[in-house]
Amino acid sequence: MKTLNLRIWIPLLILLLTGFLLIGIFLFQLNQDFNSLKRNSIEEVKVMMSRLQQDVEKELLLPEHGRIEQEISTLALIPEVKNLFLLDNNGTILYSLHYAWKKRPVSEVFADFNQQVWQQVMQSKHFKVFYDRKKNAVFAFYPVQITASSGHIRSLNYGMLYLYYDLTWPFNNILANSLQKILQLSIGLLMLMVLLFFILTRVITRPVEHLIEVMQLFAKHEKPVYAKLTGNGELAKLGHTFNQLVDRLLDNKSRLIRQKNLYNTLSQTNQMIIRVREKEELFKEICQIIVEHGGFVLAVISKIENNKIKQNYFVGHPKVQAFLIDHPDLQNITETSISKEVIDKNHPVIINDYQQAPLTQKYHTLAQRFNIQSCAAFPIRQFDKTVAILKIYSLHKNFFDEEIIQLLNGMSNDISFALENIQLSKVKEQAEQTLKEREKNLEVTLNSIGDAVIVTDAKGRIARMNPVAEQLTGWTLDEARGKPLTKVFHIIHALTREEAVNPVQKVMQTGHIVGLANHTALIAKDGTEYQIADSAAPITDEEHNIIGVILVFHDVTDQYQTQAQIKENEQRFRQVNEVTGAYIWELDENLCYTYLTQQVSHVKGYSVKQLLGKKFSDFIVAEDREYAQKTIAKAIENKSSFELTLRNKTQDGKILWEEITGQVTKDNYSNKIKICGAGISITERKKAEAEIKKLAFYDPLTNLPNRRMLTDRLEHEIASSKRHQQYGAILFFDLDHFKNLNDSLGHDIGDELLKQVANRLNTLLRAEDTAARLGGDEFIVLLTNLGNGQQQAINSTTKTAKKIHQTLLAPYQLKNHEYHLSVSFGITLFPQPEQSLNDLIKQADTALYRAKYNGRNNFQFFRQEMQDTANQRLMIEKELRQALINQHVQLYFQPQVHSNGEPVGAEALIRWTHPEKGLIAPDQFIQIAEESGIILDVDLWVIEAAFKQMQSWLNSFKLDPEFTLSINLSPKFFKQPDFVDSILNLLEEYSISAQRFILEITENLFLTDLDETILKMQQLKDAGFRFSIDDFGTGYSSLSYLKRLPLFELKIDRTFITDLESNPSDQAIVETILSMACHLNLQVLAEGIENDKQLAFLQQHQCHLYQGYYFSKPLSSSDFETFMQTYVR
Amino acid sequence: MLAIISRFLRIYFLGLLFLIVGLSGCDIKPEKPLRVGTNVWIGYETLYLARNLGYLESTPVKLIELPSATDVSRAFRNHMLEVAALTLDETLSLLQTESDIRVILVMDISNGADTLIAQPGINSLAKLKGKSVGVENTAVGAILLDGALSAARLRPADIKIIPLTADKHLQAFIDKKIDAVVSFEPVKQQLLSLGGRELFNSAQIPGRIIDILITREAIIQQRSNELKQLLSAYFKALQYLHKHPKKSAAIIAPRLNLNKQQVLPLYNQISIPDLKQNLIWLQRDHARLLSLSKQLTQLMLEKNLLYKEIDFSMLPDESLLLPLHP
Repeated sequence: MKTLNLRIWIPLLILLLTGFLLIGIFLFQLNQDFNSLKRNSIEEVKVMMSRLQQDVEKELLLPEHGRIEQEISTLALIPEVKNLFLLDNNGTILYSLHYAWKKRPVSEVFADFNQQVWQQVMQSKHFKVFYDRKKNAVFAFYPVQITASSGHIRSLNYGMLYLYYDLTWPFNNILANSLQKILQLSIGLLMLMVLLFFILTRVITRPVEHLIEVMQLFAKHEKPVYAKLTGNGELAKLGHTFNQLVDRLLDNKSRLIRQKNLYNTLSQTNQMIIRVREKEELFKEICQIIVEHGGFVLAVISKIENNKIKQNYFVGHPKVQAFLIDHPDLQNITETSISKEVIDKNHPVIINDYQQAPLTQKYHTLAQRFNIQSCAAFPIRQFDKTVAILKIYSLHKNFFDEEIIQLLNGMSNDISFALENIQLSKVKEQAEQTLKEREKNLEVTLNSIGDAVIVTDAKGRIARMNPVAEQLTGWTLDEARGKPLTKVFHIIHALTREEAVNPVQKVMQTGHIVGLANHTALIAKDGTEYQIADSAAPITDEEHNIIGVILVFHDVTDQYQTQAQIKENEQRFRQVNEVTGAYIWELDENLCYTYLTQQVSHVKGYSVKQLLGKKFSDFIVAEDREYAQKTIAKAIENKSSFELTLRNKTQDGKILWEEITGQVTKDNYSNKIKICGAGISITERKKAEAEIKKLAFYDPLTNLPNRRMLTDRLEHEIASSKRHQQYGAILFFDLDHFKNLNDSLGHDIGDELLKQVANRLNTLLRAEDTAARLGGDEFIVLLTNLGNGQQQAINSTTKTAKKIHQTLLAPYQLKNHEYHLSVSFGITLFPQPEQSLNDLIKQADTALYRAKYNGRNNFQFFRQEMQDTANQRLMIEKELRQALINQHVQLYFQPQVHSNGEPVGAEALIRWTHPEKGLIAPDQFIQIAEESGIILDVDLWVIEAAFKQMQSWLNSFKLDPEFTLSINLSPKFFKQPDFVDSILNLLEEYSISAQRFILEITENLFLTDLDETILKMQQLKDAGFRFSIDDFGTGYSSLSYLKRLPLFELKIDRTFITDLESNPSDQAIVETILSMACHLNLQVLAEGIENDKQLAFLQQHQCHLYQGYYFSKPLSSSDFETFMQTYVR
Repeated sequence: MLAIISRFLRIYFLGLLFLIVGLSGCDIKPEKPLRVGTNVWIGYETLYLARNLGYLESTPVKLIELPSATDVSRAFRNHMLEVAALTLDETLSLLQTESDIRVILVMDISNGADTLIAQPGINSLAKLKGKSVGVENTAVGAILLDGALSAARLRPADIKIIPLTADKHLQAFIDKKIDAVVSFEPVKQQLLSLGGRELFNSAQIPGRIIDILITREAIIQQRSNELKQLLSAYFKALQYLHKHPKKSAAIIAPRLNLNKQQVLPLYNQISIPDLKQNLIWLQRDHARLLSLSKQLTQLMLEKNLLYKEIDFSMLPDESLLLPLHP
């Protein structure tokens, strides 16, 4: 039978039906309304149009038709009137709601116009009003008689009034009203249904749900739950019936449970009886089981002794249990009366109505308190003697029926049986225990003895062995048991190797204790031999019959061996000391000698007597003392061994090397630290080592590093040069014709020459350079740190090579002979990619070969381009010297101009015109000149030439009094001690005013000896010279020195001017220099001006002195004179 | 069976639910046409331009063309129009009987469009003395005539005033029933083309004659959205007019019974306030409209064009324009 959810379905069905009804009514009503609207509208239109027709016709008779328009327009005010117009017979609009349509054919402006009807009406001259379903509008076509031109009374001309009466809006209005109504109805209906839903929920669903809930609860827990429904309804009756059903079911269930519990209790008790071996525990557990499984409120077992209760064991429901524990007095008297009854009758006592029974009168209040209703007591017997009473209490009246009593009786019998069993097994256990203990004691005793023990029976067969015996004989007891003693205990005489007498036999014969002879050895099963000492004794019974022999022995092998070893060691020790010269020492914790052997005097130079009790460090040289003390301190800390190599100082100040090994130990008895060890002299060894080292790395003759050391250094330097991007050079040279010298003057002289050469080399070289002798007359000089440019490296190398060459060329004094030698060099640079050390030396060697081939006494680079560079340099040096002498150098003058256009001076610049090579630029020779020192001559030449020129000009021209000549000075020249004097001398010689000259110096002059520099400048300033800093801004600039220097002018370097117009940072620098110079009150001159933009910028920034190609290139003196004259003109 | 029913039910309820939600969600009442009545006046053409350009298509706005301002005024008074385009003076007249009028838009300010034109031969104002002058019985007519007479130092008694609605001006002039007429565009153009002489126009009394759009307070309350649509379409059309004057002229010309070329010059005689200026005109507390109304009321009382005092303080209503302002 399928059922439905009523509270939902009833309202739903009602809603459904009413909904259909509503929609039906709505549609019907709507249709009615629409129809009446249509009818009414048609009537309205007819009335309206008839009137309009009349009015229009009337109006058309008048000459002016203004009112027609007004009437038509006014009709537009009716909302439904969508269009209205008057047409003439051609279909042209005469009047319309839309003024713009006037005089236009209707078909053109109004597409919806129904031509067919129009034609029809025009023909029939009968109006037509109809409803158009598609447009939802009423259309009216009314013919109108149109007045013809004057003269005719009646016209046959007809026009037509056309009306478009739109019903869309009223239709929609009706629809909306109806919808609104139906909406209101729907909402009302819906609310009614919701109300109905709630009512149904309250009346039907809730009670049913309650019933279901209660039933589900009962089904789940089987506990008494009842439906709480009231009233006379069907549902209430259903609830009541259900409640009765629950009662019946529960009653039956509780009966079943009770029986099940009792059987369960019995089964648990039987299981427990088998397991438990203690009486008390048994009692406790029985009580526990009865309460736990039997469903009783309390179970008590009273132990009986001499017919009196001795002790009670009880378990009850928690409350009862707690109460009884709190009231021990009540425990004892719990029903003494019942117990008495049981003891007396030796029979169970059953009380099925506890609270009324006279026997329990004393305890009625107590029973009421815990709702105890019935009780049963059973005797428990042990060997037919009542030893306890089991009392069981129930919460149910008349609980103990016949069936239950029988069950419980059976249970008490089982308990009795268990008690008897416990008693029996206890007695048995005790007997076994005693036996075991005796055996164990014997075993332990034998096993704990340090000596080996073997026991035999009367026939000499092994009965027992202890572990020591097992170990020594190599036999286990299991293997040996029952075997004759001689097989297991095999003894011989250690010295004679003869079989020894079996002690057991001896004992059996004599019946006395027997000891073994000395040097008896036991041969174990695996053949190991032990020296043993033993004794054998008879075992006798009460009647003094020998029933066995006990053999006791122990291993004495170690004792024998130790003694022999000690003697041997003493002998060895003595021998070793004598042979090695080592001595033995011991120190106490204060590091004072406590023991020393005689050999110490050879090692330390002091006797044992002098040393004993003294501090060990007192005899060491001071330098080694700290190291020695630290090493020992560390060893003490770690209790470890240590080694020392140190120097002793003897009484007469000799240094003796010594090597010490030692060990720190801790004395177990005194807990003190003991340090002991040996020392040995290594003085000889050290000497030999030093000698070997020297021989290995140095040439013994010249004391210069030998090939091996050079190789080491070179290897290191090559790697370093690669890493630091620094060039180095190998100079390979030998002495030309050395062989001749050796042959003619002898090897002594040759060796002497080599020594002197070596000495000269040593004085020449820098610390980082190395000169080595490879053997014979071959030397190598290793130069390092030659800078990171190849050009620079070549220059430096050339310079050094030249220096070495010159030094070596100086005459040698060899035993009254004065000897001149020539030397050739082969040079190569490193690092070179892919070139090994040997390759480099080979290169240098090859270069040397070439040098000799090219006519000795010169030097040669391995690579031609290097050689070219070197040659060129040498050439320039040489030629520059000649040029100075031969007047191949001239002074050129670059004008310096003021912003007003006047030349105010010139810079004197040196020009070298080589007879063959033509003009040589200063940058090609000035650097070389500076490096080679020719610059001193150059500078001096320039100064003199400048003085000379100025004198000449002064004599021949009328120079401006402010006209000056700037002369460049090299730092090297400036640093010469006679620098100031040489200039002043020249000044005097040419008797010329120093005011005419500005000396140009560079910033790097101030890097060293600033005070000295200032002093020199001051001296020259006092003489009238002025100073200018050339190339200002490119070097080391510091405001502090600028302030201190007696300066007159700054020359802005050309590098700042070149891009001045485009480079903002250059502009900033120039501005800064100008502003600074202004503050320091210095004149500023800008060099290198090439265009007017640069000039404009400088002018704008208050720099008024210029020099550069923009004004003039450097000019020869004659050209300069022309330039000056041009200007003058 | 049950499943079918339950499925059907589900659809049924869903339908019902949609019906309820749908009906309550939208406005149930269909929109009644919003009738906007105007007479023919260049300043009102913007509205017809809007209709022509389709800006009013999706709105319930229905423009109703009436022959004269008097018709408009009457229809509005009779509640046959929701909105009317009138001059301020006509509005003030209406205020005597209808107190709930609100001005929602100032459409133009006459700047020469209103005019006094005389028959050929009468070439100065002074010559009007003793002549018949046709004039619509509106304040505009009165204002202009007053301005003209003042300029000529004539008194009203010096001329013969013939009341004449605007739609009859042309015919009366052609028939020489009158010596001069107070009229306005587009009749003005037609009169001039007939040889009429313009003796005075509204440019000489600037800011006195304005055309406005009025409605009632109740309509603002109930149909503000539709009114806003109308105004928004108006300004949109105004924008179009500025951008495409020639195209606009072609659309406007037939209604004015003029050719295309004649249309644009008409706009020189009026000034059309834009949205911003409108807000100044209609500003709630100190609208320019109020001061002009006060001035006009004064004049109209003097000329007996009003038969009682009126309260024009509630006239300006800027509430519909404000949301249009970005």
